[in-house]
Order: sequence, then structure tokens, then C-alpha cells
Amino acid sequence: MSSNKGFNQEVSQEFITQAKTQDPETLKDLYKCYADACFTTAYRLSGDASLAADICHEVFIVMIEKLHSFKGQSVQFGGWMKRIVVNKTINRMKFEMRFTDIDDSPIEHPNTLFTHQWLDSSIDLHQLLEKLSDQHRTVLWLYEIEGYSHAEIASMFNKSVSFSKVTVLRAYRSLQQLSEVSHV
Amino acid sequence: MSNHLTDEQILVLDDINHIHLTSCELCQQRLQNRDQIRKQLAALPLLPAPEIIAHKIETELNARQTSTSLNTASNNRGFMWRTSLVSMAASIVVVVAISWWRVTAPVNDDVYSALVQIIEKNNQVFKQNSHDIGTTEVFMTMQFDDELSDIETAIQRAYLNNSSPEKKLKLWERRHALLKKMKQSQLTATQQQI
Repeated sequence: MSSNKGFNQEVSQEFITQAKTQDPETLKDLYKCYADACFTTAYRLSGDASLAADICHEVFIVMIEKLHSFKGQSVQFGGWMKRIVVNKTINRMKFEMRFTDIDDSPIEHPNTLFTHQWLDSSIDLHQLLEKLSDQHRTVLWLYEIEGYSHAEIASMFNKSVSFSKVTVLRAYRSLQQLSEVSHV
Repeated sequence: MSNHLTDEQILVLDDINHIHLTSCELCQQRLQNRDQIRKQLAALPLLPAPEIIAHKIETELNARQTSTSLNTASNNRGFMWRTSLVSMAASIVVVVAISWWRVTAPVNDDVYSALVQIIEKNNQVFKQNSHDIGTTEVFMTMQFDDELSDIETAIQRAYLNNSSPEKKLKLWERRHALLKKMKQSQLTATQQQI
């Protein structure tokens, strides 16, 4: 088993059944399978390698504890893991009060975000994401990459749907500005 | 741009927007530009998890295995074992934290007494909740479990990192509020059963 497919890596039903018996070798294989995906997702959401390592550690401990309660098909296992990672990361960031953006100012130059291709492929996108505020990065990543809906994001943040929509737009705008600055 | 889709509509296309798209080259281009950015984000590579994580998990699991063996003989109810273990851990944290803080930190009586009070309140609610679990098992939902675990981790981290008493106080207050919420949830569930 390789981990290059992230949470889309498929495992067999037998493998899950074996993991539920807490067999150490199977648990190690499970770790090898999903550890990079867990770490990467936590990192992309938080922009903090130390926090991502903590989350990855906690998630595997929780996963091993709750494995018996996983009743889904093996193909759903990656999705189940991903949900735990996302929830843990958001919870931790909330407790550390990292979501502090309160920006009520109107969005500058509305409806011009996608009129030209401003994200050059030569740009270090990894670095650009790190420079976004925690709130912008997290919401943008949840919506555009992890496939969470605005309603789901609103619920996770205890905010309105329009909060999620506006935050995605603001995050894009920040990304665009950072991208243009890095070109200068 | 008044006749064109807004940025928000480009992000969430509904049927009406699709109709506009079929006849508008500008908005088609905007959609393509947005998709291109999203593809670049999605193409970012997986990052290797630091090797230390695997060692930490292995160590923790080994320690738990030993602890479980010792506890199983005296208590076959896994749930109660878990709560008593958490309770014990919390008490240890409380005792160590208070004595350690008292010795090393300059004494600010207001914050200190507030901390003592909130920790005492935490213990009372926790004991009450643990007692009530005996009659109903609906107390600990997965969401509460996760949240409580996160707060307790944050509290431990606050003491390890020598965070300010105000920050610790806030964390204890959050724990207390969550325990009360759990208690309320338990009462509601019990009433529904009746």
C-alpha cells in the first residue's frame, strides 16, 4: 500500500476487520497508508507544522480507539479519517483562538477576481498559503479542496452561510494580492 | 459587469448561471481561470508526516495497553474505566498545576482564587456527570468527547508551556461550560426517554 492517493487510498474490508482487532502490524500499515494525508490536511488548514504533527498524532490515537464504531464500507474509510482530521484541526484552532478576522469592509473591486489568470505556475503556492490569515486559508481550503459546502463551513464556525461565502472571496482576494506582490 | 455573473456566482453555479455561461465567453473565461487556480491548489503535493509521530503513537499505545490490562480485571465497563481514568488524570493535573503554579508564579490573588474556584466547579460538575452515567449512557456523544479531549489537551499544554494564568482560567472556564452543556444534554435525553 502506498500513501500517494491521500485519503482516496483504498483499503480492503478484510484489512479494516483485522485493524479492529488492534493487530499492531495492521495498525502500522494503516498509519503508513494515511499518515501523510492526515499531516498534509492538518497542515494545509492550519499552516502550522507543529500543530499538524500534534493533530496527526491525536487523530491516530482517536481513530484506533473508535475503530470499532466504524460501520461503513472500507471505501468510506478514508473519508471517515478525513472528517476526524478536519474536525480536530478546526476545534484546536478555535481553542487557540486563531480565527480572529473581523473584516466588515466592502470587498474591493468586486467581481474582478477571476477576470485574468493571476496565479502564475512558477509561484510557490505552498508559501503563499502560509501567508494567508488562518481564517482565510482554512475556509478557502475547506471549500475549494476538501469539498465542504458553505452551509457545512458555516456550521463548523457557528456563523452564517454568508460568512463562508464572503470569507472565500476575501481569501481569494488576499491570495491574488500576495501573488502579485511576489511577482514584483 | 452588471450583466455578468458575480464572483460569488462563479464559485457556486446554479442552473440559471449555467444558462448565462453557455452564451457568455467572458464568464466562461472567468470560470476557467477559477478552475485553474483550484487545480493548482489541489495539485500541491502530500507532505511527509514527521517520523516522530509514529514513535509517539507507538509509545502511547504501549502505555495504554499496560494500563488497560491492569484496569480490566477490576472494571469491565470500558466507558466507566475511561471516565475514571480521565477524572484521575484531571485531578492529577489540577493538583500538580495548582501547587506548581503557586510555587513558581508570582501570586496574583484574584486570578489565583478565580482559578481555584473554577477548577473546583469543574470537579463538581465532572463528578456529578460521572455519577449520572451509571443510570444512562447517553451522556458522552462523540462530539462532546472530542471537544472535551481537545480542551483537556489545551489545558495540559497551557501548563507545560507556562502560559499566563488568564489563559489557563479561560480554558478551565471553557471546560466548565462544556461539562455543563453535556449535563444539560444528558438531562434532555433522559427526559425524552421518560
